[in-house]
Amino acid sequence: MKQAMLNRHNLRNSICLVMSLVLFFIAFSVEARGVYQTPEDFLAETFEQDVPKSKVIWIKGDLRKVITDILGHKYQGLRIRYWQKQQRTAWILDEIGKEEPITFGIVINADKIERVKVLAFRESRGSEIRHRAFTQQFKDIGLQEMKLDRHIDGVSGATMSVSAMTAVATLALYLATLTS
Amino acid sequence: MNGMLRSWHRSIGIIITLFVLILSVTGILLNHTEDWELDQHHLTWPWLLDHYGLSNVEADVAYSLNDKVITQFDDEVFVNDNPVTTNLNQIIGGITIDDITILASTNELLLISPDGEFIEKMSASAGVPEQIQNIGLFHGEPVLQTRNGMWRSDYMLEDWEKISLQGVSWSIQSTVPSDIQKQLDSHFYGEGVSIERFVLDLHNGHILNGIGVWLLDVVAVLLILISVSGLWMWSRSGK
Repeated sequence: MKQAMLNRHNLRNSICLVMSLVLFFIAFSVEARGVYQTPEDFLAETFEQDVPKSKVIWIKGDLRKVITDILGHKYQGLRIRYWQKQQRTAWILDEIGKEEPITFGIVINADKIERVKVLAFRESRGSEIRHRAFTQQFKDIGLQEMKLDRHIDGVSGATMSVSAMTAVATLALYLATLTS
Repeated sequence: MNGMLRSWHRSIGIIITLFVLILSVTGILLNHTEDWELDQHHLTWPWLLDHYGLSNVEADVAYSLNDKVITQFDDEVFVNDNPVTTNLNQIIGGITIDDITILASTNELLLISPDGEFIEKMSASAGVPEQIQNIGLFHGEPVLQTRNGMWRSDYMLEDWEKISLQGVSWSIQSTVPSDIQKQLDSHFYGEGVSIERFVLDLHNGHILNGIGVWLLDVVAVLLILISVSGLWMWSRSGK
């Protein structure tokens, strides 16, 4: 009798533990999605509240081919907007992680990456790329033969998000060379 | 006993005749799907498309602009029957300036080229006023009605001045022309229902959803009964 009660008690505790874990993971995955910073706030922060007027690069001819090579697919759009003050340029670029677009803010300074930030993340997995510990790897990276000149360590379970960030960082570095 | 069995046998035979014919004909057709290319030909009878849930593709919004029909289905934006971009917010109006189509949603303007290609999405970071309620034209210039008042710009859409105007020609929704609707239906649901699928569903009863499967089960049981009763009567007739 006592043993049966003990078993029932253990079973109830186990169910509670499993349910808590499920709820934790659901809560964690929901929390992962969201807008962390608006493009306007990112630009205001980048240019210390004095945001320059935006400019555009039209994507035509050979440039379209190069961008397709960098991204691994056709860029959706005929022009890309950027903001420039002296040799610093800021780019707001969307790239699909697995299924949904991730919005990145990238600052290039003298042909090197000054900062990469995830502004909006809409996937259910892979949001770890937004952490500073990961984005810091991109600091001072340049472009060499249309690739980043330094290796980026991946994040387990966020392979596609890492690829998306690497692709847009490469694209921003390349586009910045066209603005100087 | 034999007389009653014969009567039942005859009644069951009449009941299942139609089903046996359908099963036989569809069975022969399915045996020759590839020879007769039944998977390559499609049926577009309206009642059949409706039965398969392949009709009533209804756009959330539709605008006729510059000989183009702009529609939005969930977050997908179409120019005629081509998906051109995705937009999380619903389009709330559109205008045309110098052959460029400008669509407005709550916090963005979407630009479409004269060839129907997506150009760019412009938002507050490009100077576009937020909380847009409608877009219109005033003497050829774009005007936005926002929660924060009325704004006017030029064809570049980069500098907006707050203004109060009368007589703005505001964007209004339109219906989707039947030819574009057909193309959109085709985009979402292909060419219709393949003959192979239709014949297969007739054969296995799925054409009537769950009931059809049960109905064919009953027919199968009746076929077993008629076979057994036939064999029984044949074996008894010799004695």
